This record gives sequence, C-alpha cells and structure tokens, in this order.
Amino acid sequence: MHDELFDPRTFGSAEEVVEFVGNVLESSTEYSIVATDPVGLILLWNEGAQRLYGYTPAEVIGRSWDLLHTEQDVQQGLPHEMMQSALEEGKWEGTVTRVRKDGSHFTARVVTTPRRRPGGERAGFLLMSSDISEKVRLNRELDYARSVLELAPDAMVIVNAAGDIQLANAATERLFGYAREALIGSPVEILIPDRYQERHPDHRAGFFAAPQARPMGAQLDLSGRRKDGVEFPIEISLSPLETEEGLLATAAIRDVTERKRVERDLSEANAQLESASRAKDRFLASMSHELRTPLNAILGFTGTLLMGLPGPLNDEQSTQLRTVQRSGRHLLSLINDLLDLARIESGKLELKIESIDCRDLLEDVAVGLRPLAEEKGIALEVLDAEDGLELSSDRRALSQILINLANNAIKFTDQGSVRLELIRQHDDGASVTRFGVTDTGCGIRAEDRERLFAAFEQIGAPDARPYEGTGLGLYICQMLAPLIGGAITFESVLGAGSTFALEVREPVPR
Amino acid sequence: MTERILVVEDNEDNIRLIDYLLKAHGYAPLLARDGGEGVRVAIENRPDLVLLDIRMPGMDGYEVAAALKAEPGLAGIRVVAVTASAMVGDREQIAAAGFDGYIDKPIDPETFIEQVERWLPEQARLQESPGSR
Repeated sequence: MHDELFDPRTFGSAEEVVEFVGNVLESSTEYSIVATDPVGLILLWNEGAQRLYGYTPAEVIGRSWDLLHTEQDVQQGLPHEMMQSALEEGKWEGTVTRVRKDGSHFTARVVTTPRRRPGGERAGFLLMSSDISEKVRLNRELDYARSVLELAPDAMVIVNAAGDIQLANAATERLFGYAREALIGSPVEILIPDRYQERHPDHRAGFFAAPQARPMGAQLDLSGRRKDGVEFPIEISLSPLETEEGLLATAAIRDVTERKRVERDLSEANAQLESASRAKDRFLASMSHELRTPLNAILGFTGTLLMGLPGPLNDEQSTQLRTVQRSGRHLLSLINDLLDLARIESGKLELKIESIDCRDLLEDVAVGLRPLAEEKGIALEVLDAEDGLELSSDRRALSQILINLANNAIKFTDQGSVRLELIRQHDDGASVTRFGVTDTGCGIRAEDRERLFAAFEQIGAPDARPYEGTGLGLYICQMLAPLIGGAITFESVLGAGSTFALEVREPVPR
Repeated sequence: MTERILVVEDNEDNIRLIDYLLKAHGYAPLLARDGGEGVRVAIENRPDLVLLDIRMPGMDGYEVAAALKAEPGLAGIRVVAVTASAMVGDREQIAAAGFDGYIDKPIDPETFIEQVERWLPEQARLQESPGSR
C-alpha cells in the first residue's frame, strides 16, 4: 500500500519511511493528528494534538477518544457515527465542537479516516483536526459587516486612488439607479453631475494626499446624479480606509432631498408667520388709533354740550345727551379692553419690571376710582395695608388688574363699601403679596362661578339687573396675572359680598 | 397774549373740538392741518405751546416735534402730544422724542383746559376758566 506515496526510489527502506512519517507527525504543530484502535482507544497523539487539546501523550494514550467530544455529542452517539461513516464511506469530514483538557470548547474541522492493516483488516482510525474558532469568528464578523453595509440607509461607496469604485452597497443601487455590476470598476464620477466632474479628480487627489475623515464640501450644497440624469441634494462623509491593496476612500452618501424640502417649508412658514405677525401689529396700532379718533369728537362735543358751553339745555336734551355720553364711554372701554386683550394674546405686552411701593399703588387706584364710588354713595377705602411693602413688577399690569378688580367691586355694590387690603405672607420659601378687594355687594351664585373669568360673560345679580361693563375685565385680569407671577383668587357669599385678590408670589432670596 | 397756543391736527372734527374748547375758555389758538404747516406756523408765530397730534399723513408728530425742538428761534417752546395711540411703548417713545407732555385722546372736555394750562407759562395763562370744575 501507499506505493504512490512512498516510492522506494525516493524513500529507500521501510525504516526510512517510518522515520519520515514520524518527522511529519512531530512537525505538524498546527494540526492535531490522532490514531485510535477500532473501538476508539487512543494509540498516537502528536505535538499538534497536545497543543490543541492540552493533554500530554501520557495522559491520553489508551483512553477513549470520547474525551475529545462534548458530553452531549457522546450521548447522541456522534463518535460512533463518525467511525461508522468513515468505515462505510472511507472518510468522515465535518465541523464539531471539541473539549480541551481544561474543559473549554473550541470549533474544529475534523477528518476521520479508517486505518487498515496491509491485509485489509481494520486497524482503527486516523483523526486529523484543526482549530477553526478564529476563522468562524472572522466569518461571522464579516457576515455582520456585510449585513450592516447592505442594510445601511446611506449609500456606501469605496473608491481607490484612481477613482474606480471598488465596492457599493444596496443603498447605492437604490439611490443612483445603477446595478451593482455597472458600479464596480466604474469611475466614481458617474455619480456626479457633469458640471462638477472636471474638478472632482483634483478633490480626490487632495483627499488621498491628506487622508482624514471629514464631511465633504461642508457648508456646500452637493448634488448627486442618478443614472437617468436626475440630480438630487446629498451630504457626504469621507473616511480613509487602509487596506493591503493600498489606501481607499470610503464615502457615505445621504439623500437629503426630504430634509431640504422640510427646511424650505419651515423657513417659508416662518416668513409667513412673521409677516402675519407684523401685519397684526400694524393692524393693532392702526385700530387703536382709528377706533378712538371718532370717539374723540363724539365724547368731546357731547361733553361741551352737557357743560352748557354753546348754551343752556332743557332736561330732555340733557337726559338724551347723557345717554349718548354713557354709550360712547362704554364703547371706548370696550375698544380699550379689546386692544389690551389683543396685545396680551399676541405676546406684545412688554413688561417693565421695577420696584413698586405697594401701598402707594393701592392708594393711587383708590384715588382714581373714588369719584365712581362716591357717585354710587358707597365708600372706597384702603384698609389694613402694610406700609413699606415693595414688589418687583410691571406697574401698568399691576395697576390694570387692581383697577379692574376694584371697578368690578364698585359696579356690583349698591350699598356699603369696597375695601382695598394689602398683606404679605410667607409660604414655603416664597413671599406672597396679596392685594385684596372686598365688597359688600350682591355676591356670586355657585352656578355662576365657572363662567366668572370667561370673556364677554357678565354675571348679574340674582335679580338679573344689567350692569355696565364689557365683560372682559376679569378675563383680562386672569390673562395678565400670570405675566407678573400672580394669580387671581376669590371668595363670595351670596347676598353678603365678595373678595377678589391678586396674589403675587416671589421667591425669598436666601 | 391770546394767540400763544398752536394746534397741529389733521382730523377736521378734532381740530374743531379743540379749537372750540380753547375759544370757550378765552384762548385764540393757531391751527395747522398737517405737520409741515405746523412747523411753518410755529416758526412765524413762535407760540408758547404746541398741541401736536402724533399720527398724521406726511410729516408725523415725532418729526414735527424734532423740527420744533431743533429750531433755534423756538427755544423754550413746549410741545405736548395729543394722541389716540395707546400701543405699548408709545408713551416711552413720546417721552424719548422730546415731548414735554402727553394728553390722551379721546380728550375729556371737562378737564382738557386744566391739562393744557399745566403746560402754559404763567403769563400766558388766563384766569380760572368758565365752565370747568
């Protein structure tokens, strides 16, 4: 046997052949070569086997080769199966999990062949195995890398220094409309609009001269060109790739058509909003002037007539003119409230924060409204107001809230008084300044309380007698209060009166 | 002494009202119906007080005030804005533009003369006006 392998002209005597085979076995350090008897008892254990499995020959000679298999494989009869098919088919070859002396596992490529004596008698088996764990791992990583590349939403193109495409992923096919075969080996310039093609080789040379990862043409509007000639906006990031074949350039290309469209829509929408906002401002400014100008003549000449400047009036003329005057004033306060509201809602209310003496402010409110209270025969008093309380706030907003609250109180009180109070309390690290307006008026029915702060709602007395006013006062207070860090609260007893309060909360400096 | 007030106002109804109120209290105001005319009349007549509308076509109240304050022959002239503008910042803008005062429109006929006289120099003021309270 083996005449073709061991030609006596080359090897000479049988001893020399044995010597040669022994050398081969010894020097095969990367391959484990193991011989067994017909039932799998280990007879030969070379250097490679020792390195791979960790056993010395003395530790394994005479033991079953089962110890090289995992327990599970042994239970499932794999060693037997390998021997059986080696006998039947002359060879068993496959990838199996192997066990080292220390119990650790590795993946091995194994070939098992039967050994026969010169007479054909079964002598046992020869097992050759090698550790392919690293190769398996590398293959798996390569698979992952390939999947990532293929699944990437961006087109990935690898180009060599000559500008030839070396690799392109599925997204490149989708984005540019070329089949992969058409891409590989073609100059990368096929992906670029004509007008940029001439300069591109220079840019490429620049990259290869100073290879570092960077966005391409940052701040520039780059375009790609599809196979059908259609151009689209792109973003590119470039990275150098060191390979055995030399330096390559990796380009990740992103289609930014959608993003550009969104950006454009957004900026158009913003421009429209700004222009609408400017138009609204102009409208407000012009309305505040236009609406009040005719009232100047109406209220002015009504006033001069009532003052008797052009001559005496009879009673009926006076009564009718007072109706004109009252209606004109009502219209004026409606217009003022609406303009206030429009200003607050458009965010055009500019607050001027300054230190305000709270008691002074309350006295000013009382002085301004006292004629109205006296006309109705009720008292308007500042009571229980602490001296020297200061508040950082906007004077106009603060006064407007207090004037509205006090004005309401006077309006809904027919006898008794309206009291303005001022107190500061400390609560949970904050100081709360409370401006209270208490009246002895008709009070508010429980069922009316929800509507109290709604625009254009006017809650009447139980006898439903109509009151003057716009129905916007409390609504405006409610809108203004948060702007100065305040809130409006109220308590009411039907028939006995109400207390409305503005509470402004300020953190206490530590 | 009775022609010391200039009214610059483009709205005919308003100019009639202000003219009427001032005359009813013994003043004989000069009248100008736009900004440019206002500046000319002021330079010719050197009034003590100008009651100036803000929103006017052509030269507006701010421009008129600046022109009057810059005129060497008009040193000491008082310029008071009479306006229906009530936008945020208007008052600040009016103060910053060199106006001496501000009268809100719609004007209150009962207190208008008091407000005007506050800005008149002592010698130009008339006795307690009739009809006012």
